[in-house]
Order: sequence, then structure tokens, then C-alpha cells
Amino acid sequence: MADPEPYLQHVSRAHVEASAAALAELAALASTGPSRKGAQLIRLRFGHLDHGGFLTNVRHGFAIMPVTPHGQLLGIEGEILYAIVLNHTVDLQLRTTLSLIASLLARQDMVRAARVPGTDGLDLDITATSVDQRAAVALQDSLRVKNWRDAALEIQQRAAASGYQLDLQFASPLLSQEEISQRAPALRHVYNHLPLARDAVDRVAAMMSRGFVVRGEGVSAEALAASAALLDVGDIRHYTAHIMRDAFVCGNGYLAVPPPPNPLRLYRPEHVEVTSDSFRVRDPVANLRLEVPASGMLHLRGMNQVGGPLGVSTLEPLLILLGQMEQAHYNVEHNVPIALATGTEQARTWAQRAQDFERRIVAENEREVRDILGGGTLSLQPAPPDLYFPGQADASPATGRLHFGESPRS
Amino acid sequence: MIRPRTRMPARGGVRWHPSAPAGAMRRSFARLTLSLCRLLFVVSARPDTTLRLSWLLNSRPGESAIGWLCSTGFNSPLRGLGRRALGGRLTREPLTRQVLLDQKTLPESTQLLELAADPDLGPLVMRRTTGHRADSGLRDTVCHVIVQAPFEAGAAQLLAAFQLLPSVAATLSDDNAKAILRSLAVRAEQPIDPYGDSRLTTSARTAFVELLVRRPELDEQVTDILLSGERDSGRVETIASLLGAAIRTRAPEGGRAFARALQRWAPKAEAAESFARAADNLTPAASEQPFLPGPWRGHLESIRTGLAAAAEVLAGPLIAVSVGAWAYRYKWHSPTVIIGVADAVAALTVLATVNVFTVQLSATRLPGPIARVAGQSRWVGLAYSAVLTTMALTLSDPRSVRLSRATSWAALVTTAAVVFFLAASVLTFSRRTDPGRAAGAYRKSTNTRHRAAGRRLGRLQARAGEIRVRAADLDGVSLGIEVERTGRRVLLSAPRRGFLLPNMRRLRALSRSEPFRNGDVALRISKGIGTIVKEGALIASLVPTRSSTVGRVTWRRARRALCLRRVGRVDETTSAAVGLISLAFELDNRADAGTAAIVGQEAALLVASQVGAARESRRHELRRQQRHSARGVSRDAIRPEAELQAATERARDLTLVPVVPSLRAAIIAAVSGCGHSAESRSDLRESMLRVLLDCSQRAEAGAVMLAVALPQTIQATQPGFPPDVETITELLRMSAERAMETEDGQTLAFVRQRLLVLFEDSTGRPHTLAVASILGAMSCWLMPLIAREQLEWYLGIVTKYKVEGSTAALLGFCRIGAAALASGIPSVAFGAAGAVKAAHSDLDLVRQKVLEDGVWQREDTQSKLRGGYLGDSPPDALKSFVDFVGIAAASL
Repeated sequence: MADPEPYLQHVSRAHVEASAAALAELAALASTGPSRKGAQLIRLRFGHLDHGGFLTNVRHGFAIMPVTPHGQLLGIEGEILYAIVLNHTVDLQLRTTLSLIASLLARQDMVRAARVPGTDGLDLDITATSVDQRAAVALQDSLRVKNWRDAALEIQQRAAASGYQLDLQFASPLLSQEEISQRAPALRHVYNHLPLARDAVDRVAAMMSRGFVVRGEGVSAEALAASAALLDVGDIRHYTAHIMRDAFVCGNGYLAVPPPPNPLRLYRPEHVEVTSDSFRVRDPVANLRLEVPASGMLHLRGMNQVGGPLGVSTLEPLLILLGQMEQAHYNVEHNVPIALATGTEQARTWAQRAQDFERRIVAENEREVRDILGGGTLSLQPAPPDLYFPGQADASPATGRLHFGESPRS
Repeated sequence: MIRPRTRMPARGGVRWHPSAPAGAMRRSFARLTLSLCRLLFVVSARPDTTLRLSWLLNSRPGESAIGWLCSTGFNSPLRGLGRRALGGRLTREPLTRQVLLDQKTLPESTQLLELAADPDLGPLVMRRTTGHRADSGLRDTVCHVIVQAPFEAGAAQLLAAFQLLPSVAATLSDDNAKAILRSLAVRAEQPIDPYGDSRLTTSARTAFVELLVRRPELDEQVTDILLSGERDSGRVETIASLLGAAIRTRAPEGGRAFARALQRWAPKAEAAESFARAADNLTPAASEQPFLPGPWRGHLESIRTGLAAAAEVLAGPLIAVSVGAWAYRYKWHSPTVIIGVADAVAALTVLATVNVFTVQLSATRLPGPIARVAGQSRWVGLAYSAVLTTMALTLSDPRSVRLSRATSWAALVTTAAVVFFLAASVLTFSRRTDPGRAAGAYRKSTNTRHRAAGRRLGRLQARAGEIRVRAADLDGVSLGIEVERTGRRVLLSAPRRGFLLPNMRRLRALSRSEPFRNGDVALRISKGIGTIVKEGALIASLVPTRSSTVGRVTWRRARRALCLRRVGRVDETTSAAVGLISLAFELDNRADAGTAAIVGQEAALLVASQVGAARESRRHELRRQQRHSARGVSRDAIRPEAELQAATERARDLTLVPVVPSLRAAIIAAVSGCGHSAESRSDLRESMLRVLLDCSQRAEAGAVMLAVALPQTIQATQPGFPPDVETITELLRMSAERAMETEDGQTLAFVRQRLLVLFEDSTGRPHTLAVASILGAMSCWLMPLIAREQLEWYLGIVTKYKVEGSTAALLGFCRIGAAALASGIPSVAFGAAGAVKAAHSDLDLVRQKVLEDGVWQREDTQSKLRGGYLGDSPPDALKSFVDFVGIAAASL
């Protein structure tokens, strides 16, 4: 059995610097540079994230699927984004990144093979799993006799020989403000339609908001009670639950804290721009445009990005899983009845395989969602029904169904 | 007593101290300036004058200057209002002048409301109004705006009226108060859009609660509103939660107020539970800061000890010099008795004999470290000093007769001093034959040493925490749980006994070395950083990759990096504490309970002193680390707050630190009893453990040490340990209570697990059941946030072992419910009432069982003996809960 890898609850500056330097070096070593004509370009951008224990500790990294504000998931034709969990040792981060690159190359070979006419891609999930396993074993064997630098060079040489142009970049921060804002509606959809994700977020939001207790040493009970009353009558717990949900779902939550007696107010993350010393709020719906000083706004982040003030949603690893499930479900719901109505043997076989594929995808992805959220969140107390303000149970505005390619409705 | 805060909010550099003398001077100056300005205005406005100064006063520099002169601090007292705007307002608006400069009178009520609605002056007006007695005009205006003309007044004035309502609430007539309450209820029940402007709703809710807090008789009016809105659950829920918030502030009467409201409203179970949750007072009782001696006390003690040690050394020479100088100065004749070398040697021999004898005599009755101190008082040291001085004097060879005579006198007096000191030491020793006195003398004379050892230990603990964080970040260095012995690796063992505290500089250099940088070798350190490791114990391993080996240089550098710090006097405290505890148990076995209690107490105080010193020093060091990290923030570009966050977390001193050896050893010794007679009924063990637990905070984990030291099952009790489950459950209760006091949820869960194991044994079930319910009751006072969880745990036990219908289980629920009601957590009381109702349908029988003679008296005594879990008046608490069960039954 492999050694348990320690999870570093608090990372120090030295750790951040050391891992950033090592990953940047790895990116430089494994990039192929300009290759011969006709080589397939694979662009990979990876960077550090710190999820603070919200996700399982054994998750060392995850892909961030590009998505439009309308819920369209973009394939890997564009740039692939990958988040490395900062809270692991530098060695493990390097191994995770190398494994990602090796798996990416192996999957490209798999996709090439799947493009052969006559294949429908309904067993890609099984093939992908075995391809990933083979790539991981090969990398482990390689790392057993070599150090990571040699292993990175080996991957680079193999990619060049296979006709790929690897363009790797270590980014700090990984996602820009615009990218984070664009992803918010799709991530709200994940929260609204993935019960496990909703449950995990709500449990943490409940713990953080309901756990507020006013304390004081040498303070009269009356003063304490008055302070505690402020928490409830001012709906501070509700506001806190909302800002926590915004932070976990959209990556950032903003709560304006004006001087009393003005009440609190939340701003939607996509309407806020963070500058060095203030927050610029631009809400086109409410025709609102104001600048709030840094001290007047509480800004919470879901996952911390290294090198930037903005956070990233903790539901990012679940986006692609829900997308796959919804796509497979849509396929079964819309195309299988047509195939069955056609009545040919080939169509029936296809329909059966599509249904099997959907069942597998749903079962496998639900298991993976449970694994990803298997951190401390599920051991927390369930959220009370009145966690959020009445009528605000769903996060809004959210996209419709997640889909690959063009939206059927558009 | 809380002093009213008169200072304006400190944002934006606002400084305003109206009560300060400097502020008064500035105000006088401002008044003078303004009077001059007004005069100039009047003069310039006269038609017959040629003086036109209004342009100057209204110009930008003019208004800025006036604003600057009139601002009572360096900046404007009004948030967001510049000096020029302030100057403009002051010259043109008499009301502004009145509010800002006149501290005695308030403007007329209508004007006051206008000013309160002013975004700049509003907060200032509110603050001023709370300090004044509201007049009838203001009362009527507020009532008019809220009830009759809310739309005409506008949002700003309505908001101001809501905010002024608490000031006038007490003077409102009943009808007006009810009318206001109804108006507020309509506003307050509107839904809030968290992403929109909801100032009116929020302010109305605040005003609603403030009105109920000041006028509790309006509760009935609110229950009428609740009864009338049964069909709209959202509306009812909001109003009920506001009533709950008001009830919560009325502790300790909150429970009764809740019961009255529930009785009148009689909602369904779900609504009642939601209402109860809203009324929960989850704020733990404010802990009073213990009056500990200041840090100067420790320094004073050190100085006193140092002076005493110096006196021991210098007493002889000082006496000799003084007497010799006197004899030389006044030309004394030779003394009749001349002390020679033989006499001095004889005196030394006698002294040494007496010393050895006293120490040996002590050692036969007292533990080693205590015997050494008890048998050797400070008088012995003084005697040694005097006798050695005598010897030196007798060996000296003075050049003159006069000097020889002086030397003889000095030798004679020092010899007399030896005799005196010897007699005093023998008397002191005879007084210390009593073990209680010996233990007290030991603690008194060695306290400084133990505290110094504690301070050193605290620094080591803090540094160990820092090293653990930093070492894990180094290339090729990892921290394991235990040193692995399998696979290809080179093991590193401890060359001697000591605290394992790696040298970070060397460790960093090691991780930068060639084999580590290339990933050829890795270092895995065991978990024992900051703890004492024995000589030869495995502390780390060097793991080479398959293609490399561990070089000798690497091995040597790794070994040097893993430094071991000397244990020093930490061991002495441990052995002294364990020795004293053993002595206490021996005395208790001999039925000398009084002396045993004194000795036990001294042992516990000795450990407490060291633990306290260690904590003080550790926290000081942790704060230093935090400051150091904060200094480095600005220089870091990648993740500025990372290290500061970790340091801040450590500075809270809530995470476990390397164990304090004396604390652990003392707890284990007290638990195991060291041959304590099973028949003894004294509370020696409990009293010692109480002191040890009280001295331990969450970081030192005394509570969990106690729970771990106890036998897991009744069958696993050790020889000498009283094999009754009552003792074990009582000690587990003490551990759980301390865990609650220090908010240590993990330890509490561990104790609950232990109690469940004990519950398996049917012989101990009644005790365990009682302790489980007492913990539930105590949690309502000590850790209200988990009180509900404790009740559910108790309910789970009762259900699992099918004892719901028993009187013991019923009493348990009553304990928890009564404590919850008395401490102001109605939701727990409601849950307990539900459990009682489910198990006993006949509530009269419940009343009879709980309130019958003998039961409540026993409960009263039990509560008082076990921390007062039923509050100040246990019988009243029990009776209130039994009544509450009847009220809650209507909703259940």
C-alpha cells in the first residue's frame, strides 16, 4: 500500500515558492516548442489552487472545463486548464502534473483511434479508464528509476515523436477575473442540479453561519445578549450563508458591510471587479454603479488562487461530471426514442448501448462526485431548511442544461 | 460595568472625543468662531453697511477654514463629509451647529427626525438621542410617522423613526405601542432580497425586536398576530423568529417567556420547534477573566530566589568582614576563645554529619526530590558558608597583631553563626517531618525552578509547531506518523535522550544539497518533533531512490540537522509530582486523609505552575512568530497571506502542542492510584485531577489525557484501581466537562464513545445513564451549540438499550430539559419534552415521579455537587420543566 500523502492545512511562503518554481521548470522541460508542420497543438495551462479541505484530501488536481455563460462546455480544442492542489508536497504536485501530461497524450491517441469511421464513442468511458491506468503505471515505472526532470524530458520527447506540439504554461493565477465571471452561471447550475454538491455547500454554509457565537471575557451578560441579538435580527447568519454559498459556488462572495444602521447587502460575483484598494460594482440589471472601499466589503473565496485576489469555485471539478451526465441523459431522452421508433436491429442495438452508456456514466460520475466531496463536508450536520432567505433556495441566475457543442435550443 | 463609548467610529482617521478636555476647548473655540461668523453675516446683510463679507464666508477657502476650526478632531466628525461641506453646513444650518456643538439640548422633535434622516448627521443624532431622555414631542412624532404617515414621511424619515423607536419605547402608551407593533409587523414580515436594498425591512425587524425587549407585555399582541396569520407560514415564521430574538435577550427569564408564548399560540410541532430554535440563547455565559498575578510576580519571585541564593553564599564572608572591620576599627583585644583549624574542621564535620543525617532521614519517608529539599533547608547553606569562612580565617596568616585580633574575632563570630545556623536548620528540619509541610516547603523553594523549566518547555513547544509547518515544505523532507522499518532506507536514531527539535537552518541546507535537490534521497522524520525521545530511539530515516544510495556526508548532515535539546529540569518536575502523588495515596491508605489532601494539592499545584508557565511562554513565542510572519507579508508576491494565516492560527493556541511530561505523568499517576486502597472513600483523586484539568487548556489536552488513562471497560480495570464503574464514569464526566469548558469537541466525542462502551456492561448502566444526562444538562450551560447534539446522543442511548420507560431515563430527560429551560435553550427543552411525552403519555404520573419527595431533593443535592447543572434553583428548574412538558404537549 502506498504511503499516505500528508495534506498541508496551512502552506507557507517557502512551500508556495518552491512548488511554483518546480512546476514552472517542469512546464519548460516538457514543452516541445515549435514543432514540425502538421503537429497537433496541445495547450495546457496549470496553476495552484487551495481548496481548504472542502474537497477530499486525496484529490491532487482536477481539470477545469472551459464553459460559456450559456452552459456550453467546450472541448479540449481550446486551452486545457488544470488545477494543482497546493496543499500537497512539492514532490506529489510534480508527480500529479507529470501524470496529467502522460494521461493527456495517451487520451489523444485514444481520440485519434475513436475518429475511425464506424465507431460511435459509446464505450469511450471504458477505454479512457484503461488508457489512464496504463499511462499512470508507465509513469510510475519511469519515476521509480528516474527523477522528475528526466521523466519530464522523456514525455516531451515522446510527444514530439508522436506528432504533438506540447505548449505547457504554469499560470499564477490560473483563472482571470473575466474567466471566473463567465463560469458563474454554469456553476450555479451545478449547485442547483447536483444534490450532493448542494448538500455539501449547504452543510458548510450552515456550519459557518450558524456557528457564530458572541463571546467576551469580563463582559456583562446583557451586553453579550445585545450583541447576539444583532446577529439574528440583522440576519447576519442568513447573509453569511449566502456569501458562503456565493464563494463556494461562484468562487467569490461579496457582502457590503456599510456603517450601521445601514443593513448588509450582497453583490453578485459577476458584477464586482476587484481592484487593488476597492471593489467596483457594476450591476446592469439594477443600473447600479458604485465603488466600495476595500474596508467596506467582505470578500470570501471558495478555493484560493495563488497570485491573485480572486477565488475559484469549489464545484469546478464537478462541472464536467454533471455535463457528461446531462449530455448522456439528453441523448437517451431525445435520441433513443427516435432510434427505437426506427425499429431496425442496428438502431435498437445502438439504443441499448446508449442506455448502458448513460447508466455507466451516471453511476461512475455519481461515485466520483461522492469521492470528490468526501472530505470533511459530509460529516457536518445537515443544513437547516431556513438556511437561506425565503425564496432563495436556488442560486440564480443559472444556465440551463449543460451541453457539449451548440445548444439544441439556440 | 461597561462605559458608554463616546468616540466616533475610527474609520477614515476620525477622532472625536467630546468628553475630553481638549475637545471642550476646541468646542469653545468653534463656538467663538461661529459667533464671529454669524456677526459678520448679520453685519454684512444690513442694507446700510458697505461691508460685504458673505462671499468670503461662502467661498471654498472660507468654508474649509470654518469646517477645520469647528471639526473637533483632525478630521470631520461626520463620515464622508469634507471640511468644506461641514463649514458650509455649520455657517448656514443652526440645527447642525446645535447637534455638533451643543451637548446639552436636542433640537425640537420634528427637526430631530429630519436630522436623523440625514445621511451624514443621522448616526450622530442617534448617538446623541440615546444619551438624552426622550420628550413627549419626539414620542408623538415617532408614533405618527410609523403608524399614521409612513408613506408621506418618506423612506429616510421612516427609517429614522424606526431607529429612534427604542429611545421612546418605554414612554409609549399601551395603545400606541400596540399600533406601532402592528405597523412594524407588516413591514417586518416582508421578504428580504439579499442582493437588493432591504433597509426598511431590516430596520423594521430591528425596531420590532427592540420594542418587544423594552415592552415584554406586548408578547401577547405578537401571539395574536401569529394566531391571525396561521395560513401564511412564511409570515408566521418571520414574526415568530423575531419574538424568539426578543425572548432570548431576557435571560434567565427567557424560558418562562417562551413557555407563555407557546401556551398562548399552541402551534404545530414544526412551527413550535422553529420558534424554539429562534429563542435559543446560544451565547455561552461570559467567562470572567481570572485574576492571575501579573508577570511582575514571576520576576519578583526570581529576584527573591536569586537574592536568597546569593545570601547563602555570601553570608559567612559578610559576617566575617563586618565583625573583622569592627574589631580592627575599635582595636579590640584578642578574644578569650581562639578558634583554630582543628575547631573549624570539627565544625565542618558536625555540619556535614547533621546534613547527611537529615537528608537520609527524609529519604526514608519522602520521595527523592522532596527529601533532598526537605532535609536541606537554607539554614544549612548558610551554615556551610559560615563554616567555610571560619576555615579560611583560621588558615589565614595576618601580618599585624591588630589584624590577627580582628581575624580571631571574625572566626569566633562565624563559628557562633555556624552553631546558630545549625540549630535553626535542625529546628526547620524537625518542622518538616510532617509530609504536608515538607511538600509545601518543596514547592515553595523549587517553584521558580519548575516555572523556568516550564517556560523553556513552552518555547520548545512553540518552535516545534513552527518547525512542523516549515519542515514539511522543504524539498525531499516529509513528516511521517512513525518511522518505517521496511524497504530500503537508512535509519537515524537518537544519540541521547532529549527533545527532538530539528535545526531549521541545517535542515534547509540539507534539502538544498545535491542528492535532495535531484530527488535521489528523501528524509522522513517521525512525528515526535517537540517531544522527548529516548536514547537510541528511531527518529527519522533516509530513503534513497532505486538508482542511488545514501552517502556518508548526507547521513552526517541529516543527523546533525536532527538536533536533540537537553531535557533539563522538566524531568525533575515530573518525578517530584509523581512522587508526591504516590505519597498522598500512601497517606490516604493510612487514613491520614487531611495530610494526603495537602500533599496531593501541592503536587497538582506544582504541575499547574509549570503548565501555566509553559503556556505563557508558548503564547508569547507564538505571538512573536505571528508578528514575524506579518512583517514578511509585504515582501511576498506569490501568496502574501499564506504564512501569516498559519502563524495566526498557531497563535490562537488551540491546536495540540507536544505533551507536557509532568502533566501527563501526574494525570496517569492520579488515575492509576499508585496502590490506592479501593476501600478509601476520600475525594483525593478527584481533587487532584480537578486542579490538573483546570490548569490544562485545549492545547495541553489534559481532558483527553484523563479519558485515555482510564480503563476502557470495567473488566480492564487495573490492580489497585477501584473496580467500580461509578468512579470511572465520574472521572469521564470531569473530563467531558473540561472538554466543554475548553470547547474541545473531539475530546467530548471521545468521552461519549467511552461512555457507550461502559454502557454495554449492565452493572454500570445506571451510573452511565445518569452521567450521560448530566453531560447533556451541562452542555446547555457550557457549550450551548452542541446541547442539541448531546440530547440526541442521550436519546440514542435510551432508545438503543430500550430504557425509555424507566424512571432513570425520565429523570435524565428532565435534567436536560430543566437545564435547557433555565439556561435559555428552548429548542433543547422542547426536544426533551417530546421525548418525555413519547415515553410517558400520562403527564400527571410524570409530575408525580419527578416532583415526589426524595427525588427532587436528591436531584437538588446532585446538581449542587456536580457543577450546578440545574442552575441556581434546581427544584424550580425541575418544576418549570414539568410544567413546560404539559404546555409543549399541545404542540407535540
